[in-house]
Amino acid sequence: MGLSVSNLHLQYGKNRILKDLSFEVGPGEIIALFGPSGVGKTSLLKMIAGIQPVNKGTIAFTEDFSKAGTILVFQDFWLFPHMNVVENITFGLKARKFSKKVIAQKINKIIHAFDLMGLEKHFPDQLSGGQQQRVALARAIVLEPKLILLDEPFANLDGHLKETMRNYLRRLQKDYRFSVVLVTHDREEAFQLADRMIILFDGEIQQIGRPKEIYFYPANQKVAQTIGESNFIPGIITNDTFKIGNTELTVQNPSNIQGEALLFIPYGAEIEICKTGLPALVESSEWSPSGQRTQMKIGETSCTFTNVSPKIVNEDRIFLQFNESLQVMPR
Amino acid sequence: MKLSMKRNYFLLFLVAAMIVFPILLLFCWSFSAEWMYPAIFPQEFSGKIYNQMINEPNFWPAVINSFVIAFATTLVSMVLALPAARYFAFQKKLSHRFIEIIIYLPLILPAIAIITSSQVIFLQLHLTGTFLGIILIHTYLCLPYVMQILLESYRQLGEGFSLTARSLGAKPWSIFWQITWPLLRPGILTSATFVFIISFSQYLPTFFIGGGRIVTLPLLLLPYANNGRFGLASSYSLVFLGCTLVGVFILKIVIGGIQSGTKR
Repeated sequence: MGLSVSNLHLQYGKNRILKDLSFEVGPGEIIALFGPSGVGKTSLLKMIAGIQPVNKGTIAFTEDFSKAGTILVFQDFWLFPHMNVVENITFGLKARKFSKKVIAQKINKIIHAFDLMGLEKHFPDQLSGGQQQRVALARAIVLEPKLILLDEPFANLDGHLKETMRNYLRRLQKDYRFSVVLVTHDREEAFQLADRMIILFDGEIQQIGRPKEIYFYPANQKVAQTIGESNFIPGIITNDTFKIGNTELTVQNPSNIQGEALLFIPYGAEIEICKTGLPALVESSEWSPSGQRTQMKIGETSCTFTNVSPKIVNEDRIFLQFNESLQVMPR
Repeated sequence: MKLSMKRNYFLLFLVAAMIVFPILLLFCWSFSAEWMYPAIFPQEFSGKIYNQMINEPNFWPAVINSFVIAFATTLVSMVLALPAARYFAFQKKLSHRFIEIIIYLPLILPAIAIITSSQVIFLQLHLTGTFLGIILIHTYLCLPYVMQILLESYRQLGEGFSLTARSLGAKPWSIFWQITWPLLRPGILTSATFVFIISFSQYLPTFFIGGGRIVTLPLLLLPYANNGRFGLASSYSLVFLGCTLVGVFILKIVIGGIQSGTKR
């Protein structure tokens, strides 16, 4: 592992911000730290980058990772306004005492890699949001870091540009082979970019896992609610059999709950309409860019799904089969 | 011409008149050989008063002393205030805020009370009658102004630029020279010129701590003004004004001459 954070705590006065955080980042991995604003995600990045002292716990770099090889890129870019694009990008190289010849070579390469040709002499206030973002990334990546810490990198960009920049980051990450710890509260961003996600709130890590795993099998109700897109259907669980009315389903019961429980079904659950299965009444079915959005009543609960065949008609009584096994949570 | 433009020109003229008129009056007083009632302008012009002023044995020492003291005060104030302001700008604790208020005390307390009580301490420390003593008391009186300007400049600048520079591997000294200094330059220049002007025009602290041994321009000017010798007082005032402008110009070159603000 390249970066290892263990038992990290952060406290401001009596206010405990981060409690006992432990996680690892491997070489070439993109980790998304996902959670609501104000949970201490930026402070965590600052501690990893070594620009904020660590109260308690350890941050260790192994293999070829190091503090010097870790660069933090802030949300507001902080391009130096009195320096032009080239001066901004060379700032870190000069600070690290690279020779003029090496700097010239690196600049030439990075300007092309980041599509900044023709903008070399421009000052930050002459650049668009996307160009500023590229300069900020170029300024970090030109140092060939092993680990880049990105604090809400695309929060200041509009929708279309966000998408372009995400693809751009993916491409760069493959070319330059660096690891990324990405702080975000944008769910789409986390799902699209991350190899693994760390769900952080109430100062604690709630779950670490692959995006799909977190989407379909959140560790608890809070995680499911933070991710959004969740349906909860009440019923009775006995071992791994969940009963809704007269229908029984085989489910995952990781915390071994017995009695009253909630069945968790994400909006995006793959659903097939069959002759048998969980009975549901279609309330509405509307087209949306992310898929057909279907509202159904299962038992007494109104649910939303986005991955159902569009051929169903309102007021239809149908039976649902789920392609992935579902999970129960305590009420 | 539109009414609003007319009004703007009128206001501009009014402001210009308020600045130019007193200076014109100073010129008239200092160059008049004879100016008796009811004449509106001097009846006779001559450079006699300037001749008298320049031939006064204390004139050149006073000019040089004023410059030395004001520049030294500016330097000491900036050296003290820059790191102090950087520290206090981002402190949120009440105890730190309290210390910040202590720095503003010279603004709140009456000057005469500060000067007379400082004189007692300076006497014990053998600082009276020395340049160091005068520079220290001037610095003490100027610090609140510098701190006020620099604190706001630092707060406006924020920590983002310096944290980014640090993350990119720059050392504190290089962060200061390459990032903080150029971006804070407008605030530094304003506060430095402020200190220079305030120090240059100090009368009471120079008089008390200098003990009459170190003469500055205000020390020569004030008695003439008080005794109704308006010709000499005016010529000294004009020299005073000229020296201040020269000082401010030099500070502008030193602080802002190499690069000014953003490069464009």
